[in-house]
Amino acid sequence: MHARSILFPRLAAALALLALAGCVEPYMPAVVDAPASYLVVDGFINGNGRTRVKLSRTTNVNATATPPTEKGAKLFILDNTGVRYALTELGNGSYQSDSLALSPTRQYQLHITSARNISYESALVPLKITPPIDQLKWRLNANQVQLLLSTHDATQASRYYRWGFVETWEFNSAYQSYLEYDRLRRAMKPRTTPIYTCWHTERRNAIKQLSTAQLSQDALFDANVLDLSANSERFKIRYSVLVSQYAQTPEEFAYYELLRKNTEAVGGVNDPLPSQLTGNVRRVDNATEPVLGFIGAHTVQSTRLFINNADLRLPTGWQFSTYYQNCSQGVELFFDPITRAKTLSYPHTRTYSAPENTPIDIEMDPVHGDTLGYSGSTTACVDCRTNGSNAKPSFW
Amino acid sequence: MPRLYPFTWLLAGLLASSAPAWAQQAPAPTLSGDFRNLRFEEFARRVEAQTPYRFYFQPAMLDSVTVHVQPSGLPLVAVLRQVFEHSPLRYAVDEATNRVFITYEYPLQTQLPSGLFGDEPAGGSAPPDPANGATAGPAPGQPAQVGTSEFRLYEVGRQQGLPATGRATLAGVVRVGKEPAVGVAVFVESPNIGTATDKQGAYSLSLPAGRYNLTIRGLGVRTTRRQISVRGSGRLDLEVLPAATSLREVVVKGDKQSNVRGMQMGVQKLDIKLIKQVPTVFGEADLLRVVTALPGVKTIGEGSTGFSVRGGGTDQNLVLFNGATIYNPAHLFGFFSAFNPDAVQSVELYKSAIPVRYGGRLASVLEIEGREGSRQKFGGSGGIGLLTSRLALEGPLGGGKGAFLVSGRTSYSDWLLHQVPSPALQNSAASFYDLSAYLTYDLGPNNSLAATGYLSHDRFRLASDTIYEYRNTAASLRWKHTFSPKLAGSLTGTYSRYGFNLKTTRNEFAASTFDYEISQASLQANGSYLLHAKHTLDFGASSLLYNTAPGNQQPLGDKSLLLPTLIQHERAVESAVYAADRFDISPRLAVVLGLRYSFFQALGPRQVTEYLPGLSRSQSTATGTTDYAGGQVLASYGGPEWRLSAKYELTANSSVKASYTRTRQYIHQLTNTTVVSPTDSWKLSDKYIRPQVGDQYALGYYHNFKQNTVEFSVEGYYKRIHDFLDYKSGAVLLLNPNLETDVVNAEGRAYGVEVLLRKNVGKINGWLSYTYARSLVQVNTPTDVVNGGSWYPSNYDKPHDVTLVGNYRFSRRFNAALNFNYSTGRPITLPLAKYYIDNAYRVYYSDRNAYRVPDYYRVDLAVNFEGNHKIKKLAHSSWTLAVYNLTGRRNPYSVYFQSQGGQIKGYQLSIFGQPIPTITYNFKF
Repeated sequence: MHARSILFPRLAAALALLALAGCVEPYMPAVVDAPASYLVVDGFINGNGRTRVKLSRTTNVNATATPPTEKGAKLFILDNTGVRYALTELGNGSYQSDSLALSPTRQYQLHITSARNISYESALVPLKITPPIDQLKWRLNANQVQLLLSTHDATQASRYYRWGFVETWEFNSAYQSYLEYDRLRRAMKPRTTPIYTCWHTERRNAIKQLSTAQLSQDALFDANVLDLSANSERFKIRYSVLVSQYAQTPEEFAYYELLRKNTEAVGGVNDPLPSQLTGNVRRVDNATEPVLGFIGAHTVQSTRLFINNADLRLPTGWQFSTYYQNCSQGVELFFDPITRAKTLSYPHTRTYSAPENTPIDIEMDPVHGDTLGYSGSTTACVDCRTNGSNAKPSFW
Repeated sequence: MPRLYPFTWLLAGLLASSAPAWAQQAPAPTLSGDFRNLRFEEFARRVEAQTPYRFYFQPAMLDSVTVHVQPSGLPLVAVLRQVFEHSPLRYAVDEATNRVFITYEYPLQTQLPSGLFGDEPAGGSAPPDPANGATAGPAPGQPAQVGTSEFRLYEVGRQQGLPATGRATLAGVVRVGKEPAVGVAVFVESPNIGTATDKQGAYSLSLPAGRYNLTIRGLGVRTTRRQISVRGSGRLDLEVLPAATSLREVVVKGDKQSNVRGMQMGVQKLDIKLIKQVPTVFGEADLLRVVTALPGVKTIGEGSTGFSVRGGGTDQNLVLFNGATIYNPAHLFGFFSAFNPDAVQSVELYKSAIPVRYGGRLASVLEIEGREGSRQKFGGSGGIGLLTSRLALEGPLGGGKGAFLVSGRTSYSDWLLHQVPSPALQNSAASFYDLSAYLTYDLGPNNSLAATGYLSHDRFRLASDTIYEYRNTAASLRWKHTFSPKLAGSLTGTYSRYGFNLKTTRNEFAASTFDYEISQASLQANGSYLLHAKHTLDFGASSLLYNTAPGNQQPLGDKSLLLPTLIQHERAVESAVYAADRFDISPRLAVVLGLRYSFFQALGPRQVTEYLPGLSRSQSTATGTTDYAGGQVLASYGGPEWRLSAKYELTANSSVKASYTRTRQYIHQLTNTTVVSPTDSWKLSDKYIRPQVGDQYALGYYHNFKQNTVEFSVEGYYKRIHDFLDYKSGAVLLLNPNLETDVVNAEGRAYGVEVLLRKNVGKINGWLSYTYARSLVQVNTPTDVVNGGSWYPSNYDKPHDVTLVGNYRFSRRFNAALNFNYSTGRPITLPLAKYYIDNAYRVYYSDRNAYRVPDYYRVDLAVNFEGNHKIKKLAHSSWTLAVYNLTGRRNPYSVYFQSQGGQIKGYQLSIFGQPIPTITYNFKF
């Protein structure tokens, strides 16, 4: 709601300042400051592939360090007939099973025995068979690129859908570089490593889910699953998104719905009350210990979509908001332009020996044809690898 | 030299008069000479030397009196008048014996009153003399006889007028001057029969025929007595004198003995004089803030006038101003209460045993009684403070038959906002005003009219692009009619409206206006019938029509792309019939048996969404809509509301009382936060939102000490609340066409004990209270569960609360007030940990309201300086100097958490985190 989201934080701020004496102090009650270290189980039981589970621990809310991972645990998937499928440790808290094709008639749960020999288990859940994505297309609507998805389940069993998005797009850095500083020889050389064109890949972490529970058919037709600004750098050259679809149980749907609401608003003065949310994993010998995460079981259906810049038919002169909007370049001169005295850089470079700067090209005197020096900019503006990878993805 | 110790205790009972009394006898000796700069004792010695007079006084009382007169040939009384003109000392000259008595406050009566012998028989046996109008009851249509003297016998009624029961009804009006004396006890001691005067000063007693000493006692009036001989039913108006020290504002106070003898429990009455003594943050008397210092009442945040009574929600309090509902009784987000202290007479809060005539809210009734204007002379009062100024004017109407009082208050500066070093706030502006008018008029001895108008308005502009406005409008008209001494009734019509609007132009493409409005019109008829000496009936009926416009968002300006949204209007009728019988089973035991039957109908035109039965209501379970035509009933609710109470007097000074109260509430405030914000809207019960029902059981012990000047009470209560509204996570409350999908029905329970020690009179007055109170909530419906379905503390759960409101009068011109307040911090939901799931960082919260913010503790101090008490001067003035939060403790107004670069940091916001001194100038003319 506009009235709420726009006005209220400001109103709260105004209230805060209204009284002259109003003051804000840090507030960290002991319970918040106390080291919190609950087990976090992130993943799902994949019915048609490898199951990947990441184990970590919670941290203090005011901690800056990355959360500690849980190493040395023993994990296996257990079905209701007693069959076990072991996961092996990949390191860094990640565990992975073999590629499995699980039977949809059974129920599954995840067992964890930590290095300290404490056992945890997730609730026994049915395996949901995700129907394939029938169609994934896009539409340009009022400056927004909308992703439209169609799917259906003839068995009427899916009903609750969630999607994951992995986006990849091609982009260019601000300037194409033809020179490279050779650190061994401490001299300039023609560029051999391409750093102009890169691919940026990211996973969207917003939770997107929809339900067909109120529809007479278990079908979604052109459901808008993602909105992206057409001014985004994504669409400057070429954009791709891998959409993964998961069918869920109503419980898993409800869990993610609450997780989404808890994540969107952290308890401010006027924010709604957050809810306590743990998931379906519990410690076997102590059900009161909070364990965070929901282990569902479903198969995965994925579809990739490409959008080329030309497909969008954007008007000429369309402005993209990119990372490189504020870039500028300069020249490291060999000679002082007035006195013609040699600068300290000659014959090599001082500017570009520093890693934060990257050369672009040789700057020539347009009249005499002399080499004046090297043009260049910050590495962030020239080297696209600061913002992606210069290795073309296999699907590109 | 003769010495006399003053017999003031004796004199207090005598009819007092400030005029000196002396006999018109032989020419009195005169006085001449230079008596300048003399101590009184020296003056007396010289007068005794010059004249036959002898002085009788207490030297200590007069040692500070300096005489400064130069009479030539003046009688002594004229000289003494000059000497004591501005002094509380009184003199009396007995010319027969040449004795002069100097006393404190009350002059000695040197003569027996005229009419004691001779022209008025002392006994009841002499035949009545109709000529002097002071004997037989008046014929219908003639004015009632007026009892003014303590020393005359007033005969009431004719023998043949005595009903078969052998009891006669004595009725009349008690007046101080021309103004009715309200809440004054009128009683005879043997048999113990008494009553208190109502708002019109009227009283009515049922007595067996016989001779009585009728005592009139109350605050603001001098305790006095009338000798009556009751022969049959009749009227006797009683004119009494004001208490000598009273200013006009002191006049009314509840009956001293009502703590023990009254049927009420869970009732607190506050007089405006006391309210004005309590220090406040902006130096202005604030009645709602004083109400929150009463036991059982919790504030919901510093700087907010929202309050919770005995664990109820902020929407469960019915705030009435002269009978009209006020929806938002606050200014400036709650920093001020929206009532001008100069326009208020008293405030009464009912927490349990709510009388049958009140209904519609679960937790409490806060009745604010406007002050009646003076019927004697034109006058005014006002005050100048740092943020606001106020003015009230009053005077008689129709030659003393009525009175008016109009008052206004306004904020006059934005300087406070401009002090804040924030560009956004320096462009901001806040202003408010309130106006009220109260007219009273007596059409005759049996008819009176009272009309009230009220308007309050707030406007807050934030950073030149967002404007909030809200407005309360209320009006009431009350006609009181006395059918007979036994039957009186009133008819009250009221109209109230509350609305707010928001305008924002911050983003021109989303510029919008938003409007909300609720209005109600009601008619209520009340009657009171003295059925029998042991039965008093109160009965009546009321009907109330609600109209709401829950939301209208419109684009503002040509560039705005916003689509207009209009939420359909709501309309409903809430009606009630009620009756209560007060049955005095024995002089010690009395019960009130009351029943209020209320019913509610939600009316069309409206379109109602239907949902799949048995499932949580949401967009996904909607099946279609049903249209209801205008006036068609789409939902109706109703039920009995029992109001039962009993009192048993253990001794003359102590009693126990018990009560059971059921209340129903058909209107719900939508607020997602614990702070009352101006955009909280009200929702009527409808097909899905059921009315809230509350049951309260209370038991109390009451004891008065020191001749009823010190009141002590302990009250315990247990309360259950059904179907109050709680919200699903992330509920959208404004502009939500399907609000029923975002709310859940919660159950509540509350219990506690309130201990109060209160002293109303004397040099030290005020109260000390301790409250232990719990307020718990449970959300455990098949579809929605909070905290695993178990009971958890509500936002108002602050178990321990200690309040001291104290006032010490050093002298008539100087007093000091001290406020002390401690309470447990309110519950809060804390983020306990953070973690990563699905590549995003998440927060793990505690159970809802599992923790508490730090305890609340505050001390305030105020001193009042009154100007001198000379009668003849342009204006009486006083200064109030106050320091709010003397210790500068940083009490948390709110605790919140913000995410900053992956860290979640907690902050505590204190609004008044340092001592805040204020100064206010008050005047009266």
